[in-house]
Amino acid sequence: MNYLVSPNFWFSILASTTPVLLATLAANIVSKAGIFNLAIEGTMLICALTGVLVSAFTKSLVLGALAGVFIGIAISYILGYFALIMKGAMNACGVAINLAATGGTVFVLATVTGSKASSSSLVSSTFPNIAVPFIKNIPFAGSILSGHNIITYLAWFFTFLTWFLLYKTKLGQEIRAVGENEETSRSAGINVNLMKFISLAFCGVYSAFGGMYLSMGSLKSFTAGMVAGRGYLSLAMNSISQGNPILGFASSLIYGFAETMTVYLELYSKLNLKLISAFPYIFIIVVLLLVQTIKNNIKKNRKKSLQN
Amino acid sequence: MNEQKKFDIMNYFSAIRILIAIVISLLLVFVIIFFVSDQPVYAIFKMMVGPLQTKRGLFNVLERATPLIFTALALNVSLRSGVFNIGVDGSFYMGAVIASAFALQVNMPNVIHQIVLITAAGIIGGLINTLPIMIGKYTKIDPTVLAIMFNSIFYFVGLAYVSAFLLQKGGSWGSYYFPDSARLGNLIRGTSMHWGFVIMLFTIVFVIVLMEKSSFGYKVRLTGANPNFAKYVGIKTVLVVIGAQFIGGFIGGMGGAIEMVGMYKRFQWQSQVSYVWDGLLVHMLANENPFFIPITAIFIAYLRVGAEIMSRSARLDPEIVAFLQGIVILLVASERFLYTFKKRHEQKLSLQQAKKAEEKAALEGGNSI
Repeated sequence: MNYLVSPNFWFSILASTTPVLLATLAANIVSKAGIFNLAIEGTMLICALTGVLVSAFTKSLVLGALAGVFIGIAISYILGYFALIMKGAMNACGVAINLAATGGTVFVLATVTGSKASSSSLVSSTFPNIAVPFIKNIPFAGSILSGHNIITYLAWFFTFLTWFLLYKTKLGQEIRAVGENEETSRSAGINVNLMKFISLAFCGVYSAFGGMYLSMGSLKSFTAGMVAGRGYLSLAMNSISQGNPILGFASSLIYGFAETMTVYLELYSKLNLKLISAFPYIFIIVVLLLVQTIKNNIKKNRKKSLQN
Repeated sequence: MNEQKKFDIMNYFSAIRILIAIVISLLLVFVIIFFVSDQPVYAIFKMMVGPLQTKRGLFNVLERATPLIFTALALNVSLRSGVFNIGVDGSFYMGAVIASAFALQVNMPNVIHQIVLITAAGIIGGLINTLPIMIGKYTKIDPTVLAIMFNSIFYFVGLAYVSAFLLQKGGSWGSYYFPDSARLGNLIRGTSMHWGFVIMLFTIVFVIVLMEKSSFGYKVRLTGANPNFAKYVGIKTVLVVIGAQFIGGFIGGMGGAIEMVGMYKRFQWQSQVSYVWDGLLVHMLANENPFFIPITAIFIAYLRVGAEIMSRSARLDPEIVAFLQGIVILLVASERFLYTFKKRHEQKLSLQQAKKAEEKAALEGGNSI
């Protein structure tokens, strides 16, 4: 258990939090607009591949990132078009996009690189790691907080941005109103679909960065199925955080802790390896149960006190 | 009265709609093939006709359809109760694990062995599928989220169980070989058709009778369509939903067990098999009607096998079928797809009726004077 006090351990918690945090933010902002987006998983996967391919062929990180973000928004809008305008079942549309993404990325990968497993034959750009001035000189915290990938810092900024947007601006207020009650907001003169599409755009951007962090940040190439359920996890995180980005950050940290623990346990303990891999999921479900039970109790007590 | 019985193409609207969706997505896939392949016509030909050319290909389609039919039937029962619970994936995987465990760790005479292991897999599968709904009921957490989490958990638990207790040492990753008393025997020589196919036929009949003819099925459908109304007329909706989840999970677990001891000689599923998404596609293409599930499952399996034959002869990745599946689901799921077409037709029809009624009224009016 020595690793609990080593800065490396805490550093990797922050690193493994990043993709889930971005996915959680994506889930937060759409759920506040009343959308249940199962397609975050697929969007991340497609963007991870797009970023790698475009940056490999244009030799430009910026173009790759822009293409990834653009595709992220496009995929979210495809979901929005079919779910909101064509009135499709939201879950089914999400499943459709995920199916197309898991198979489609393999197809594109195999067509472009000839390998079904990874894009390591291509030379693609990666996002740089950044040493933060001043902070990096602080003894213990410096080595935890500094030296992360630029997307990690971007994700922290996005957390603040989403919170500010949702709770401090008129736009955010309208988005939340739409999520609370569509009919009321419509009668109050809010353009419901516009609000939903705005939140979907944010969702696309966040998922894109989440995906690109995996293929152009923590790893240097795209491997098939590399999102590995993080998009689905974000939905659970969203349930824990009830759509609040700050709480979303906290719950992603919990996940990051569970995942890093898993890695370290696999290294240092003699337990069955495969069973440990289930640990983050079980941990998340337990946290989810606790949070929800507490919330239900608070609600019950409030009702009781109102009756008295 | 005769007029109402007159043939109206719109009675088949949902079927036509699905067919058009399939045609559109096939065309899209053909366009993609034209862009990326050197010999597109040959590739498309292989994909569409390939499975018919050999006996092996034809039976491959049937074998491939079997797990799809099981998952689709399972989803049919559990989704029509109105909850989007996809825990069937966990049931299917754990069903296969339980079947392997019973096959390797329990000694029993031939026929009884298979019956015991399939039943055990079914019961575990049923319990797994009810879990998200039970927890969701008491804590008000979204069951879809819970089901996805549980699918991952059960995948790792199953994998851990196999690695801990059933793993054969040395060689490639996999359990010990199943004894003959546990496997489902061959049905037709020279193919891998097994007795699971017969069990599948019975299951199809069972689900059709259950969902379309029995009072339980009616309750499930009513609860799915309008839970408040169902509660109002005195249906115990909670019990109905949980019962539907259990039966669905039972079929899923059975499917996993049958696939494992029927098709394979040992447990080698090292990655998540995710038949649930294909099952969902089949269920939706069948327009939620269990009667059409075998046809749509065979169709999807046909495309899969066709794509694999194409990939062998034309060097195109078979995953291209995934595009097709995605587009088909998107189109079929959207209510508004071809909606204006139907609306216009209905308007025309009602105008005609109004006109006729007017004429009739005028005629009767004339008579009375």
